[in-house]
Amino acid sequence: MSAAPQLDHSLNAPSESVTEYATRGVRRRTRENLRLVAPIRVRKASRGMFVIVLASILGVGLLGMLLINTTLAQGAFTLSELRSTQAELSRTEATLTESVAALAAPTVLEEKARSLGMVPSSTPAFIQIPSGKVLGKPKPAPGARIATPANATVGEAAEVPSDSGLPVAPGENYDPAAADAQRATGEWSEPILIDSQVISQDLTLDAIAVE
Amino acid sequence: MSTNRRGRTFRDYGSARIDLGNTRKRGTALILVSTLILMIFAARLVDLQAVQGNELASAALDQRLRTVELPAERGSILDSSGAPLAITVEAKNVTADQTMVTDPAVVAQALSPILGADADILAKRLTGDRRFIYLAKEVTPETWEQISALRLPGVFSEDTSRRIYPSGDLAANVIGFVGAQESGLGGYEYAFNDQLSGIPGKATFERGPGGRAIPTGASVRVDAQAGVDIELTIDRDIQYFAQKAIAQAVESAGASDGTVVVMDPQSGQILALATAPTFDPNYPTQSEQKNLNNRPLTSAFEPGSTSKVMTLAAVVNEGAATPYTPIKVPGSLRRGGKDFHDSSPHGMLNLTLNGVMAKSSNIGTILAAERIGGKKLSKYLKKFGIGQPTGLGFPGETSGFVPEHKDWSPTSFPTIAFGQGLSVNAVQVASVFSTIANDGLRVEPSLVKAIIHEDGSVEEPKAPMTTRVVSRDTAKQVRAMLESVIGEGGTATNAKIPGYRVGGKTGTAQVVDTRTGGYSNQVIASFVGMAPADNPRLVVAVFISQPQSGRYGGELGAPVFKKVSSYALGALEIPPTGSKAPKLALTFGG
Repeated sequence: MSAAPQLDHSLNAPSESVTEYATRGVRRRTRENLRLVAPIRVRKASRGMFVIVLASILGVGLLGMLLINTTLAQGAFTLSELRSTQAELSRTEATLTESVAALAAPTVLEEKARSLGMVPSSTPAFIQIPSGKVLGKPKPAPGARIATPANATVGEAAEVPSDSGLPVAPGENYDPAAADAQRATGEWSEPILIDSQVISQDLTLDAIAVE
Repeated sequence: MSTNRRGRTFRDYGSARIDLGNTRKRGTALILVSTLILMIFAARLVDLQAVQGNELASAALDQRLRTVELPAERGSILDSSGAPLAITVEAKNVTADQTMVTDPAVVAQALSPILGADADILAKRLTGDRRFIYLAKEVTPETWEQISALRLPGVFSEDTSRRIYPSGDLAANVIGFVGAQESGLGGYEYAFNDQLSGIPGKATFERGPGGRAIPTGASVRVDAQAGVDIELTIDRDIQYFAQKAIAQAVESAGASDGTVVVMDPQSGQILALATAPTFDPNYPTQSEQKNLNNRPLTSAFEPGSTSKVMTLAAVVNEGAATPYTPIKVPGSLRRGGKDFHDSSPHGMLNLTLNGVMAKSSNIGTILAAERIGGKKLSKYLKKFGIGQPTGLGFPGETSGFVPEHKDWSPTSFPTIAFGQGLSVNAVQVASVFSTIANDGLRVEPSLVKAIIHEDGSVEEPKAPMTTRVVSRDTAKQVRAMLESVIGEGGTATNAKIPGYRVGGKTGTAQVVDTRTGGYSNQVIASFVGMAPADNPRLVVAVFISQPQSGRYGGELGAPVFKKVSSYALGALEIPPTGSKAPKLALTFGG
């Protein structure tokens, strides 16, 4: 039972204050409506401008930041891309340098020269210019004779170096009559290239290597 | 009522009154709680900013900051023409994260042919929980590209560099070799390690989560300072030729080892320093330890007859004899209680001083040396650089040994006079002949031509020390005597180079048996010569140690000398002088 009056009280008491609040609320709203008519319009217009200005500043700022960041990021990307290109190029360069160095090694050069039929000279000699005097006592380099092509002429065969000083014979298919005819007509016969395969087969490389 | 209270009616405000009452208390509580929370925040803030501030800021920076070492590129070693003998190239270490490898067998199978490694061993290295393990070290970038193209999960690479010697064993004894992290372990790689290595730099930068540098972040970069390039006096081609010639000679004579020194007597520059057997610095571990040495400088031996050049030069320089001075040479000579003999038995010979040199008579040399005495001989040996460091600063170099004159025993003088009882290295002997070749002026030998810095500036080593050992005239007379050695009746007729005047001296020195302390049956056969004899531009010294077939310097050393000199004269474009060799008498009519 004691709960009822309490309830009543609680019901009553708010009703007064509600009224009070309500009145206050109405009063305030009225006051605002009255006072703010003119200024609101002015303020609305200026605030609009202000917002636009702010927004555009903000927008420009943001865009600027975005642009700068993008550029920087782009730059970073380009940089790392270029770095990797640079790394790749320097790698290629290093590889090439390495292979040049390896190919230029005396061992390799000697091997190549020998495979072309070349032999080291055993006696140094010099030709003095302009007298044409030979300094030193040159000797033909030791080594096997290089085969002459089957249809080589005497002259062509003689151009092929020989170790022995023996007269160099023309190739077995050499036809003197044809050569004479050529000579008569003045027709020039192309020099015959010696097949390197033939050379290396005919050379006894081991015999040259050991003096 | 309750429904009313929750409706949007005027009465609703009324019902809110009950909540408001509670709100006040709640508000108080809220304020209290939030104050408390804020205080905690504030306290934490103070803690973070003021108390731990610096520590945390640096920890955060550390998290973003990354410092990488910028390795300094190791300098190259070049020959006298600038051709590379040792260079550093980029390489990759292949690594693996075992936890990321799902199927080790498959990955190993794929890697095996590229790395040239056994698949089972690779599979073992790919299995486990280790986050980092090496699969292969110092592979070429191309090899890594092949691996990388396979996109194998868990297989990564690491940048590194590799020291390569493109010409293989060429001048390996001089260059030396490197170990792990490219640190020099032998030869000039070791001696010049600090200069070759350079100074590593470092780069510190802030990085984003992706690992890329943050463009606006803090960054510090100290560039690495590359190592210097060292240009040697070695001529690659002559070195190659000398190396090949000595290797062939050592093999055909069944010798233990051999050495060739090619020197420019005027500048003291060593053009070739060859030894056999040698090693491939690309794979130093595959070679025997003794072959890693630079024998021409690190091994000392008794010079034998080549030493007679010093003795006879001293005698001539002191005015005690001329090449024509007659010397009666008996078959045997007793000195200090010991009998001395010549290499082949003979009766009384009437030799000139020139004949003593040409025939390499021990007894004749002792008799000639007695004209000046031990004290003077000892002084000359020192002046010729015997028992002194060569000045090359080579690691493990020996200075050889000559006993002090006051310590000489009664047999010391006669023994030292013909080249036993003192020890030398090969370069010292070559330097003695260079002194005679350079008109008696000794130029300290050198092996380093220039040091090239990163900025391209060339630093030349200080000019070599020069010493006047014998007079110009003495040197000329000694050279004439050396020509007799190659001439008719001399000990080294097969050192002759057609068209050139050549002078030289043979040597067949007995080797000390380290077990007994006495002389063994083994010898060092040598020939040291110069060309052209009347204006020497080239000195070539050949030593063949403990040959099993053949014994004398004339038969083993002279052909190597001829081969190497012939090539070097051509390569260096030294024409013959065109003059005629003097014919000095070897004997006198008595």
